Amino acid sequence: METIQDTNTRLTTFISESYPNVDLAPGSVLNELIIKLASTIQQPLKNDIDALAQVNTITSALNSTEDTFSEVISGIASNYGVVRNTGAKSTGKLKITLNGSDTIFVNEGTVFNQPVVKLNYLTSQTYRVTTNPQTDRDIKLIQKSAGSSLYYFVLPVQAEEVGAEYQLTDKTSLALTVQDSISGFVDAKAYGNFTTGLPVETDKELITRFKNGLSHKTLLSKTSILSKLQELYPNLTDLSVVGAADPEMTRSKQNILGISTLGAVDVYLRTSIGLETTTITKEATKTDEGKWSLSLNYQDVPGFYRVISILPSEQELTGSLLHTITFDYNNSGFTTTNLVNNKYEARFSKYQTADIVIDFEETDYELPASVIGGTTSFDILVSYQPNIGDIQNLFLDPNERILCADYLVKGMTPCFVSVGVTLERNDTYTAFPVDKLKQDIYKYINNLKIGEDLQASKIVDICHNYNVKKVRLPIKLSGEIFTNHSTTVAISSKDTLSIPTNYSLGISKKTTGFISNYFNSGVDPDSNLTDTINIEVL
Amino acid sequence: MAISSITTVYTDRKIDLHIMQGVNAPSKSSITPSFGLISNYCTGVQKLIQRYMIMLLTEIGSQENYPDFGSDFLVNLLSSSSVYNRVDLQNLFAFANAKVSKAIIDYQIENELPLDEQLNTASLVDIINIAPGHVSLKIQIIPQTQDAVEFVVPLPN
Repeated sequence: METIQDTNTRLTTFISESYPNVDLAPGSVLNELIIKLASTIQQPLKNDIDALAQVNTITSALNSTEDTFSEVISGIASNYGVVRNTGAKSTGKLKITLNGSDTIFVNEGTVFNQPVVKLNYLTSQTYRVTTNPQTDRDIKLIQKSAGSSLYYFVLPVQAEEVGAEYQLTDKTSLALTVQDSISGFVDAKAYGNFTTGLPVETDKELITRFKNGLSHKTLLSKTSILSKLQELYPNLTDLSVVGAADPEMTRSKQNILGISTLGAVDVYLRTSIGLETTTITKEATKTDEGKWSLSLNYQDVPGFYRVISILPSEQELTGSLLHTITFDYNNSGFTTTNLVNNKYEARFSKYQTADIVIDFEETDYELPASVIGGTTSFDILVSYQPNIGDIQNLFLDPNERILCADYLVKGMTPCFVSVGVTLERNDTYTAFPVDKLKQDIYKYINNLKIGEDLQASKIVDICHNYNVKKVRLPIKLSGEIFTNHSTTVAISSKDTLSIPTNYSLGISKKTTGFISNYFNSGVDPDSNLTDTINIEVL
Repeated sequence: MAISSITTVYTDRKIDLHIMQGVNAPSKSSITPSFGLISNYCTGVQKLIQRYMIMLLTEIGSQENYPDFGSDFLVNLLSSSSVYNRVDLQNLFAFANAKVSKAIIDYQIENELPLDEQLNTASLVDIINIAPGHVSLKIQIIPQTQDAVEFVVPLPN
């Protein structure tokens, strides 16, 4: 894309070559009246012409350096029964704290803004918020603690526009854009991770999809698996396949000789931009005084990563109860199943199970004590990648499965990335768009393929799309890999952040991918979040 | 615009449109920047003065896509309801002059220019009362040839 300075230089060069005696220095009349005005008019026209030229042919659209969205390409794709994805808005819930217990109305279109990344979220309908809900449209207003003047409610919202950059993580703070649009407003925080948003499909992505659509759609090779699954699950962004010859494959080597018996394939999926969260309500059994026990399996959230919080249902408590989790596996009881030898091979797959022991003494919360063996419901907030169980079932479907193979589907091993960038700007008179730069870095990291390296040079390139004088080196890149042992492995680099290899922990370039959130949540659920993408502008 | 001396050779000089028309050097005359007269071009120190004037009197941020061009001299004078005295005007001019001079000198460092088109210094010589509420600035420009040139810039009410 040509910048205004490029156009200026182009015109200056042309006129100087044609008329060498003309002075076009800054401040000269000819520069002010001809070069600058002509550049202002010509620059957008040239960029429009270049963009249009790039979609004249499918080859040009594929080679385009910019995102294009041509109706011509949409028409061609429709000939093959392929429709452009119009994107998806990220949705989630906000926990809003109010001062007072008055019944209020939250109007449709009430806008909340995340002040750091400057993204807007709004309500899609009007809600009545009250301590005594009467209808489905009412939201319950809950007192934070006994005697407190603060109350809270959970409000569904959606992103203002489609796009992957709108996904927020749990406890991210937001502000009302119109003060006093909610009476008694104190604060608003994300209640769980938001769902993945999707951008509008570009011409390049659409062409690739309908070309793949012409290919064989089976569950055999990586390409055919991807084309088959993306048709059914548009949120699938990448997958990686580990087969018999790969050192990551352990399932087929569990024999006395330790050699692969062939036929086993592990399929690692990325079905969301960032990790999503969901709440499961499950009955737990009291096993001892202050101890409750429950189990999670494939029917709850297949392949979930970790438990974020556990609270008794409908008790309006906040934070999380202390708990211990023991992971295991179970691949029995299915009509068709996969070979799984231990809990580490089953981790992040549908065969993963978890036994949770919760510390909960009812009397501490002024609740009636239950007898040993009694049950009560708990709300369990977990992080996960969606559709792992559904996709595994597709691979096992008698009409779809590859008869001679054993395809085990897992969520990819996540590596959470933090970035620290210091840059010097050119123009000290205008505000630097830190929010836009953060969104661009967020999208770059979350669009990396499984195992692809994260390059500091690419982040420098992104910074130079803005009016910066220079990017100070080194850039700080660090990552935390959440392993199949539920441990974390830290990595860092000043140049290229690369996935290491540790097969026993399930870490390799074929199993692990980078994920970026906007903010880090600390151990204390009520602590302030820190920037994951930290940009310092000098 | 007064020209204190005449350079002798303008052959092969780069030229610019002359909008400060109406002066036959060497003489003093009141002029108004304008078009519509017989086409005229300028070079040498006259071109330097014209560039300086344009950059001084263009309000910074007034040009789309060129937010850094110009100075804040007129911006400050016109946007504020304050009453300025001589010292205030000198301060405002000093900041604006520093920015404009730096821009001109940065350009001449990067590009080869004749000595009489290269800025050495620019300074405010005097503030002239024309009538109640009307003042003009008497500015002196010294190019690298060291031949000082003075000119007067009327300010808006």
